[in-house]
This record gives sequence, C-alpha cells and structure tokens, in this order.
Amino acid sequence: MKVIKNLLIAILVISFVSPAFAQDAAPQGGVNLKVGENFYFEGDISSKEGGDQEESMAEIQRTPFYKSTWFITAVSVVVIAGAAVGIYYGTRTEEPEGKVIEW
Amino acid sequence: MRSMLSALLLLMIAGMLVSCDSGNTGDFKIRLRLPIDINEVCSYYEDDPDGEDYTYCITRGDQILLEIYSTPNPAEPYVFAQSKLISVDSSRGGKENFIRSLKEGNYYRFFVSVTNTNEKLKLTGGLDGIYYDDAKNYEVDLFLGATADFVRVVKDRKKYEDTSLRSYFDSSGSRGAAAVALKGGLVYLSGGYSFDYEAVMPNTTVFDMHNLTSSKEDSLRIPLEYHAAALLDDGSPYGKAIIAFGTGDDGSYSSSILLFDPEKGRYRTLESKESVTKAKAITIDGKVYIAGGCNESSSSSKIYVVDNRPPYSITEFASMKTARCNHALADVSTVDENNVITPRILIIGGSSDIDGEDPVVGDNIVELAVAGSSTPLPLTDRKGEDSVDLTKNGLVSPAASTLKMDDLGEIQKVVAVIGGHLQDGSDENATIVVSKNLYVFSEKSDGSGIIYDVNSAPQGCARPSMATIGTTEKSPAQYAAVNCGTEDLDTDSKATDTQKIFVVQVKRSFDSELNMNVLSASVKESLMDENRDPENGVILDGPTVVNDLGQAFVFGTEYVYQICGNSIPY
Repeated sequence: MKVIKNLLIAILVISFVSPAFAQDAAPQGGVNLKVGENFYFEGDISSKEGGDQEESMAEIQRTPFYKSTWFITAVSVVVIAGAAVGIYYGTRTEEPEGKVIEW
Repeated sequence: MRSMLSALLLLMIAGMLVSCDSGNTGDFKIRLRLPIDINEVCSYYEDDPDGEDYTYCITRGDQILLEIYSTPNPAEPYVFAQSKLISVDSSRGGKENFIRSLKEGNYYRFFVSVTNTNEKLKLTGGLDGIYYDDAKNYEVDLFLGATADFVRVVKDRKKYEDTSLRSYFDSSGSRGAAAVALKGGLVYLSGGYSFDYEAVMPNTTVFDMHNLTSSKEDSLRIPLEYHAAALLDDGSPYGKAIIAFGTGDDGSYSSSILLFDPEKGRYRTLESKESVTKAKAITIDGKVYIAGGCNESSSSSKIYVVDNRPPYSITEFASMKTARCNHALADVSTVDENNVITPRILIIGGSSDIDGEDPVVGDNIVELAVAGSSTPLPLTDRKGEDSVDLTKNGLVSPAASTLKMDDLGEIQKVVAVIGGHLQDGSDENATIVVSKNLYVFSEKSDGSGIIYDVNSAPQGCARPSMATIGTTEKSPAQYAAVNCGTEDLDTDSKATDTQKIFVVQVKRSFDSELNMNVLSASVKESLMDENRDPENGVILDGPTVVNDLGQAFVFGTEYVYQICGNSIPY
C-alpha cells in the first residue's frame, strides 16, 4: 500500500509539474515570440534578411507537436484522469467489518 | 495559473496522505476453526440431516454461543462481559457481528460453544490473553474441539496434512517430553527422547493457539527427558515455564531448575539442586512445587517451591517421609473465606528407584505435604479395607488429577488416579504388571486418611499423564483428559496403534451393596478410532496439560491433540 501511495504521489508530482512549467523552458540560442496566452514562435531570425525572413517565419510557425495546445490539453486530460483513478483506488478503504465471528 | 496548479497539487497530496493514514482500524475477526472432516461428512448434512454423526460440523439449526470476558490486567481474573447467541441458518458457513465495541487496553477472553438442534453440546473452544488496541485490526483463529473428546489441532480442516500443529518429533516414536500450558494461548513443549534420532532432544517449541502456529525457541541447556515442568504464573501475559531436573543424553542427571520466558523465548538457570530425574511439578496459586526425583543411587524427599515473583527464589517447602520418583502429585489445597489459599499437595505412589522396581508401599504410599511437613495418610477402601492391595503392591508412575465435585452443593476435591504399574506377588516371585484400575481418592472428613473407590479400566496405561478439563458448575460428572500411552511396560514401544488418548468421567453413584454414594470412574469412548490416532501415536510417558480455559493438550509423536471441556473452569 505504501509503495502504491508513493508511486501515485510521484506520478502526480511529475504529471502536474511538467505541463505547468513547460512554457518556462526556452531553447538555447532562440527567441520566444509570445502570441496570445499559450502560443509561441520559436527560432533564430536575427541572421535572416528580406524575403528570407518571410520564409523563416513560415518555417518557425511549424512548432513541435508536443508543444501544441491540443497535445498539452490531451496529455493533461489523460494525466488528470489517470491521477483521479489512481487516487480513487489508492486511497479507497474497505468497508469496516467491525467485530465479527466467522465460521 | 502556475500557483493555482501548485496549490491544487499540494491539496491533493495532503488529501491522499490523510485518507491513506485513516485506514480502517479496530476490526476484530474471530475465525472458528474446525476439526478434520476426512470423509467430508459435513457436506452430507443438507441431504441427510439424520444420516451421520455431525459432531465435528457446524450445521443449520445449530447454535453458537460466544462468551466474552475481559480484564484490564492479565494478573487479575477475567470478568464476564457479554455473550452472543447465534442461530446457524446455513451449513456452509457464515459471519456475524458479535459486539459493537471492545475496550481499548483491555485483555480479552473468548469462549465458544456449539450445540446441536437437541441442545447437546458438541464443540467448544476458547482464546484468551488478547490485548485490544483500537488502532489495530485483528484476525484470530479459535479452534473448536469436540467436547470431552480428542481431535488433532488443524488450522484448515481441508488441508489438514499441511496445517496440523506438529511437535518436533518424527514418525517413529518418542517418550519423556515435558509440556506446560502457558497463559495467553501459548503451549510449551520441550525435550524427550526420539526413537528416530536415537537421542534425547534439546528442542523447545511454543504453540500459539491464536493463529494455530508453532515456533522453535531457544534449546534447553542440555538435552533432557523425564524432566518436570509446570506453569509459574507471575502475572505477566504469558506466564513462565519452570523446568526441573531430568535425564541427559549421556545418561547423566540434571541438577538445574530452569525458567523459560516465552516473551523472550529464552531459558535461564534459577538454581542448581541435587542431580535427579523423574521428579514431578505442580502449580498452586501461581507458584511451582517440585517434588522428589531419583538418580542411580538415591532418591530425593525434597519438595521445593519456586516463588512467582522476581527473583523467583527457590525454597524448601517440605520433606516427604519417603523419598521417591515415578510418583504423581495432586493439588488438594484449601481456600478460606478471604480467598487465601493454603497449599496442600497429595503425593501418590512412586518408587525409590528410577526404573520403578522398588515401589513405595505401606502407609507411606500416600503422603500429604503442607508447608514445613509431610504426613503419610492411611489409605483404605469404603469398607475400611484395602480390597485391591494397593498399599501392599504400590503404584508406580500413575497419573493423578484433582476434580471438584460440586453436584451436592459444597465443593469436594477428589483425586482421580489412573494407570501405572505395580508389584504383583511377593519377594522373588514378584512381577511388575500394569494396573487396570481407576481410583477416586477422597479425604476423610476428619483428615485422618484417604478413602478410595475403585473401578476397572478397559485397558491399562503403563505411564499415563492426566489433566482435568473444564466443566460447568454443579455438573453431575467431572472429566479429565488422559494420555494413556500403552499398556506395554517397554519404554521403547513403537506400536502407535496401541497408544491411546481418552477422557475419564467421574461421578457420584449409589452403591446398593454398601448402601451409600460412591465415586465411580469410567473411560468415555471417543469418536476417534478406538481412542487412538493409530498411524501417528502419542508421546510415551508424555505430558497432558490444561490451560485456564479448561482445554487439555496431548502431544503425539507427530501432532498436537486438543481435548475440550464443557466450559471454562469456574
């Protein structure tokens, strides 16, 4: 029981902490262009000029899937649901039997 | 957003910890364990309720009475708290709540009796010494034996081969072990000679009747057989076992009086006295009295008493008029109106040599020991004679046990005496034969002697042991469990099919010839195969011990047997 409890706590901590702090991590050498609350352009455009810059903007709009809103939402839902199930089964106590005689 | 998630996370973790730590506690489950049902007779009940003997079964229509006793201190007597009567409505088991709550910090005793539809008591069992802590969950086994009959103790009746309580001997026979029914559901067994190993054993095993398991404990200082053992009740939850003297593996005799502490699983030597074997020990008012013993050249007349308070000092209680071993002891103590106990010990029979070839005869065959002195008591039958030549022939290695006859209102202590062997004939023509008499000794009202009533037993018991089992108040009969062993004088007998366990019944009956009430004793037939477990046998010269719940334990070469009483001794 203790092992399951500790495992659940660890999963919860990891699963909640990771999405919550994902946006804080910026790739080295790049820039974050904040557009709206949860959207980022990323890439190094300082070295580009003219038409190259437009091409670069098109390139940098292709963000990695794991940083997309739909992915984070889906993962969060799965993690929260999993945590809920884990909490339910991990903390569920059997119905007290009281003082019984069995034969 | 981030701080909200963090707060939520912390709340969830805290909630988990709280909910996990508030797990269900205070549950208490008593599992009734039943004797072996080899032929699965119990399963026939629904189809054929009158076709079999369902003594070993709990079937529809039976009633289970659970009595609960408690005490705040294991040194104090248990007091009745509550009872619960359950009507059994299924032959396939059941479960029922028996009490709303138990009191934290109290010690509990449970006693269960099962009666059939004719209100005949068929199964009883009990447990005590259970300390209740509301923060814990409990699951205890309560073995129900057949009343006034012997059954092998098993945890699971269907897997009995794997779950039988076992002694440390193997199959080929054994003799001379010693046992003590400790308090709090523990039973102690040590020493003895193994025919398998051809050696005296140093082993100690403690059986725990709360969960029907056994544990190997510290070995005896030296291997011992024919050692004396008895319970020292010092007020602790399990008490202590006192082990005195005995024969070692090299044929030497032990001089040690040992104390075994079941809580530590360890022995310690209290004192050394004379080197003897085949002494006897008895518990009176919590203290242990050790009487007699022999070695190759002499016998002891000393009766020592071991105090039941630390440092467990040993003093001389009295000195017998005739030194002896191979005798029997019985507690005939008196209790005054203030519940003060005056220790009185009846010393019966025995011999002045180890092998029992020189029996104690004449007036000294029975002595009454009190503090500071021991007095021979004249022994006669009801006519004032000695119709069976008991004083002339002597009685070596009998078993004796005190019974409280209270059927006429007042309590009269009588002593059942069974088995042993005696000198038949005189001088050079004398032979040693096994006694087939059952005696009941009672003190004359003026204290001037002992009267015996005598009955014939169906078989002899060369070196039996006996213990009184529990009966109800004002019961017309009293019972004692007997490890008969065999009627073979050979102490190396491996004939397990002749080794017997049975119950002796003593009751008052009217003798038309004498025109008076006498005490008659008889052997109660067992449901088991002619009072025996033919394939396994018993420990020859082995112990029979009884606990505070009136349950006797007898030890087989392989298994442990229980003989249950009708009720807790009152």
